[in-house]
Amino acid sequence: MSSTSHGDDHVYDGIRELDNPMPTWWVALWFVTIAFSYFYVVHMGEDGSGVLDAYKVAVNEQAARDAAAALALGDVSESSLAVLGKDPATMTQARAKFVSTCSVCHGERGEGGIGPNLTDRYWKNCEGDLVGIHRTIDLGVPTRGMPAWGKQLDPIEVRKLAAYVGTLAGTNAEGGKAPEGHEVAVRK
Amino acid sequence: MESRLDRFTYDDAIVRKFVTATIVWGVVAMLAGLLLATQLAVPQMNLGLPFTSFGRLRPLHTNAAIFAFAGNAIFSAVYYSSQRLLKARMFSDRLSAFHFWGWQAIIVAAAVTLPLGFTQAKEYAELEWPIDIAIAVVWIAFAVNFFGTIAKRRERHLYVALWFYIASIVTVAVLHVFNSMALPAGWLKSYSVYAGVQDAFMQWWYGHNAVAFFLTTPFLGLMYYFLPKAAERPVYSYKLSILHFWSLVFIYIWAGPHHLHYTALPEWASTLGMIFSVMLWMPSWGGMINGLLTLRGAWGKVATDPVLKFFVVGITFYGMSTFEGPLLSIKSVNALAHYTDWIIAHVHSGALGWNGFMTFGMLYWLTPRLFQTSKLWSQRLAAAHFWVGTVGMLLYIVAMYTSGVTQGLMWLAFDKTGRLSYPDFVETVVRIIPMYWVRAVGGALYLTGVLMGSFNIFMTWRSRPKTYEEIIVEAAPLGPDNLPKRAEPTALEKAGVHVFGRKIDYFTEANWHRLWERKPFKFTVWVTIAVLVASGFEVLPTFLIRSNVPSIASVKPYTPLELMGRDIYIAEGCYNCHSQMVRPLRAETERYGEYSKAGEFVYDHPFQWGSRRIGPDLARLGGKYPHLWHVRHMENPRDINPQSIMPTYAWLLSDDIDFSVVQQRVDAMAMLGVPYGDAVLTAEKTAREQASLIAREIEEQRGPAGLGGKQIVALIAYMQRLGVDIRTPVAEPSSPTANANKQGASK
Repeated sequence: MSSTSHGDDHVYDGIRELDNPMPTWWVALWFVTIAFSYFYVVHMGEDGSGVLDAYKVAVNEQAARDAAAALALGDVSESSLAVLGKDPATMTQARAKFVSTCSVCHGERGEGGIGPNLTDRYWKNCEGDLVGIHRTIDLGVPTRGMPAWGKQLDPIEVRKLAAYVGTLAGTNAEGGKAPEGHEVAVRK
Repeated sequence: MESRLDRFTYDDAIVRKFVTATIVWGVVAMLAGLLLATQLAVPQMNLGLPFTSFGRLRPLHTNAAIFAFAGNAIFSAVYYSSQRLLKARMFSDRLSAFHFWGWQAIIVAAAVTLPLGFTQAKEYAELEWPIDIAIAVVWIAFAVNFFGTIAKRRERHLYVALWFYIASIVTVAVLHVFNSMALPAGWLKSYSVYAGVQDAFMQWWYGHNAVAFFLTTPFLGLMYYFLPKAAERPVYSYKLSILHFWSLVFIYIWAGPHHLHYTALPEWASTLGMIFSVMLWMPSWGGMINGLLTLRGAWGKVATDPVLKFFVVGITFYGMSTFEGPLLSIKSVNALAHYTDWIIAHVHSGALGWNGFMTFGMLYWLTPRLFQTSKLWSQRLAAAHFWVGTVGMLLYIVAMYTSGVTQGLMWLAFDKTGRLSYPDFVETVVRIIPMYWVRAVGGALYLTGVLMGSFNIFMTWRSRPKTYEEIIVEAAPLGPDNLPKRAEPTALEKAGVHVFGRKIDYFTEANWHRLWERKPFKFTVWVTIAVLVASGFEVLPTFLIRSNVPSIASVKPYTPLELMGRDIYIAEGCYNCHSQMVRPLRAETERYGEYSKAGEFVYDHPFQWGSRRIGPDLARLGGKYPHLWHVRHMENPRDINPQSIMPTYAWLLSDDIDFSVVQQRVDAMAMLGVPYGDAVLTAEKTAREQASLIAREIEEQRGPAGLGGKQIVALIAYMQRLGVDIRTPVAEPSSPTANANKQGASK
């Protein structure tokens, strides 16, 4: 390859340096990446092509899905939740979910711990009504450390849990945490 | 003209020192890595001690691997090859010694301060300000020594290895100085002068280019010297060297923002980072091609020579990771890979494959020459090292790819109703723990290889001569630089016909570059300009254009106690496992809450966005759990969540807050422009009041009494503040319409 050699002037500490041409595929791919970058920038400059635009589209799609699901599920009401609470099989399922999800803070029997006792007649975030309990579970109370479980659980599951918590009120579990919040004398 | 030859010797003693340090620190760095790997599989391996917990040791591992192991390897290569390529002994033996001992002292200082929790909390730039200053001083000594050697060289042209050394020395200095700008608030405490988005931008401009100019360009220089030496083959293409050198130096600098895709960084910067990363692919591969094609005619030797085996696999890994880098920088790929172990796989294929194998290839070639033993103690042991190391490395990265893609997909997965399939973060952790075990085994194998190599080199050293022979080198001194005169213009050229053709020829034949290689000063100036111009295009707009960080009126400075809590968060290295940056992806806003805005971070000196979610994001942690949850969780995370792999932080419940430094720290923040107003006068009193308030609330939640002066309270104050400043008003219990939209309640 004498044509690609520089001769003696390109020798350093015994290392000789040839002057072969650059591989064509290498140069070509480089031009491809540059062309890609050009078109990408031009395209990303268009309206609606940004990261936030894509996010808004995804949020709206989900809102539509939620709306359809809500219509299918019917209203959350005292009576619809109370019906759930009267079905032993449903409450067994709800109890299992309560133990796996809620007991870290409220205790296995609802006696309280990090969070308040659910077996007395005192309520912090609602009036002890099933709809209020449901709202507290669903949306949480971020200022008081109650997470919004509606983000994580299926809406049906949230309803069952609300009904289950409703059945705990007034059972006064042994070793329960001291009351927090205000007393609600009698629950319907 | 020059009949007289200079007689001189090369300083190999200093290279022997750097080689020894490379091996010692390599073992230390990898031992630390192995401990960390087991901690992720078995949280008890954190030992319940502050000094041995993951958050404090992980920076020790990264700093030791980059600056101690790779750093000393680079210096070995530079000191050995530069003297020979320049036909001159190092400029000053004293500066060489100062450089060596100064660098080792810095490493020791790092090894002491990091486990003690002294950190600036910026990745690979964690060391506190006095050590930062020492780094700058030692680096300048190195630069003076290096450029001094160039000045007294006896070789007219600079060889390509030296171009890469020049670029590394100049750029690392620039990166270190600008990223480490901090205001001291005590001897081992400081706050970054930049905040939030700008701090993040500077950090990843630095972080990415530390990869470029500490782990790439010096190792390319190493390759350009040691590979043709070991293969005894000529370097493939001079023009390719020129083109890939300059494009690498210019383009690399722009790519930093690809570490911040989907964050609160303005999208234009993120886009620039992405496209320059894509355009960087071929310039990076230029080095790989030039290396592999240099082996033409020597492939037979690769089969038998362990040195070349290490080099071939090293260069191949370089090619793989420099393809993967551009791939990961594409935004949609990054959405999956960011915060996962995919990135850990990527950096380790670079660090173990490229840096580690190039280093050991060099050491196996170099040490018999340095120790004047004519050959390595055992070729077979070196070959065994190669295979054990390669298998270890493959296990490591395959485990981390699997773990990264698995967890990334789980985080993004929705069920058919559009709810997260894995809402409980810990589920995604439990799934990848088997991969943590495979990784630990792979890492242990790689370390075994390194120990075999260390033993081999130790045995080689043992058979050294009693005294090293001083080899006298002879070379003619350089006379004045009489450039070859241009040929007289011909008649045709005078008529203007051939001028254009000759100019094209001058450019394409790289004659201009040949001239630059004779002029190190001019060359260095052009490198500096390439680096600074590219930086300037991104840095200046980020700082100067106000719309990049839209301000949010409800965002207020941290209270003095929250600031103290933030300092504990920083000292414990929480950012090593937890991000504080919710990306605008529905999978993230469903899991964590509203996505993060640039204006939320204006008082965050330094920023704490993190880069890996070993645990969940904390940007919206405030108010999510009661204080008592945090007390119990920090005391032992497994009391709250049996599957958690977080270390215990029980000492936070017993260690006192140092209220005497509150005032100093608030003053420092005020000096950085955080609007504390009159609060700055009563910082300590305010902090104590808030501490006792939180302690009382913990007691009311029936938690332990007497935590008022303890660190846990400061940390809780900070954690409860995270992300609450822009919280949209929450429905009070009395408003029944709050969930109307979602549940279709129509009351």
